[in-house]
Amino acid sequence: MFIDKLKILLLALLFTASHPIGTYACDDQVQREDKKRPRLKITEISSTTFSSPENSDDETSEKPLRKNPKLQKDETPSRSASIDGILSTQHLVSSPLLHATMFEEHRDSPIPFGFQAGVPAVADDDFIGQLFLKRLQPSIGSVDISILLFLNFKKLITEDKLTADNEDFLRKILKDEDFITISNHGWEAGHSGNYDLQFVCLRLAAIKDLMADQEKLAYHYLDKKDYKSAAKWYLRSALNGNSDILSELYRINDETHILQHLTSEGLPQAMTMLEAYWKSQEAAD
Amino acid sequence: MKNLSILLLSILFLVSSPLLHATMLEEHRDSPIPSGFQAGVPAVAEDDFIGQLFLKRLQPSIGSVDISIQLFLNFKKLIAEDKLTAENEEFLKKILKDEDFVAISNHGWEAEHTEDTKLTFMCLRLAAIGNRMTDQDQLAHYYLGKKDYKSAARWYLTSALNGNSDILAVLYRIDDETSILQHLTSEGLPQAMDILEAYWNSQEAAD
Repeated sequence: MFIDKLKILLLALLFTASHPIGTYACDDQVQREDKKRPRLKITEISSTTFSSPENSDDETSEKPLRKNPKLQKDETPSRSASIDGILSTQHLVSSPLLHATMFEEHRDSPIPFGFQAGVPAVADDDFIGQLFLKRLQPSIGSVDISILLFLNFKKLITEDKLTADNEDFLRKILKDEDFITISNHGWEAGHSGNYDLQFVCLRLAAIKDLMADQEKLAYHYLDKKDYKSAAKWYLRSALNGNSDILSELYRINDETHILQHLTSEGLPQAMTMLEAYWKSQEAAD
Repeated sequence: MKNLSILLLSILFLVSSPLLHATMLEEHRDSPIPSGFQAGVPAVAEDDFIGQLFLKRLQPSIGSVDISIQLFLNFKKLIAEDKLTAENEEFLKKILKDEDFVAISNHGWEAEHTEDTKLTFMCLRLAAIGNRMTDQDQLAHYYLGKKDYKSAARWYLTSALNGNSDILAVLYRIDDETSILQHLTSEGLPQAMDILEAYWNSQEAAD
């Protein structure tokens, strides 16, 4: 019984779909509806609009309106209801494809503001985030891009993937006083047991040659047995005048002859020597 | 019966698709970096000289092509709308090298010959930031053409401070009337700008 009813319903649907006026009207209206609906979702997220696609909507919206009265005049109420059914079905059929098309369309937009609406806010108590925004936003003129830049660097630091080029850029955008406050913030984070934040602070402060942070960072890598990174920061701290490290290097100099390479130019060789020394010590243990 | 089931299943699948898309968009709101949204960032054309130059400098420094493109488009928009601030300029001076400003200056001359006025302005504006005195001179004349005497005075005098002899000669010629030369220093620039702007305004009123 149920199957019979379904068959009738589907036959009715198919019949209405094959009607020339119905189909014609449906196609246009579907295109109009489909173009608008997904974009509405995007604009709901952002108050900013995509200028060119929105304009094209406005231009095309007039065409289907001319055909709608014809549809209402010719069709009975029941048929109109059936057409509504077809409309919604056709709308649903085309939706995934439309989403794909929508993404593709926006590839040519000058700046995809709508997409940037997905950029999360930086919390008020996110000290490092707020510091980055304070420096970046006036320089760039866009809060969204400033946040994206901060999140980008936060990710690179967390994953310990900062390159020398990244470091140069960070030195350009942050001021000397920023590195000092970051260093202090890192010490507080260490005391409160927030080791992830402490690492971010140490890594940033080390970029600006703050020798105490560089030393601490070296010990972080020593604990992880990453002797290459440890040697880099240990020796850079020494080059910045860390007397504790200098005395240690003096102690192992007879065995390693490392002090003769303790210059900016000799740093790579000194790093290799210190790495080898630590490895030999570990093997001997 | 079997055909009907397949048809019904297809309809059900299609019904769920838009909902899935909406859910997908909502999910990305909490992502730390919304990479899905960034997929909408347009590419910079290979023949976009300025764009490629920005990417060359930004991409290694930032480590993200998408954000580099967004930064370039952001500055391109600010320049096109003539809304660059002193802080924007400082940032651009930090990310572009001296050789870049020279290359941009040359590119601007080529753009002028092909009558690409938008690109010419963009190059002039960027090169002026890099203290290219000829570009500063040309930029000053661009603003004079638009009767924006404040901006014109800024670049006219900056060009003079960079040793533009043509402009220095003009300033010398009007010095009896304006006493502008005594203010022609970095510190005196704002006052010199006011004097020159007032002079041009009086000249215009007299015409």
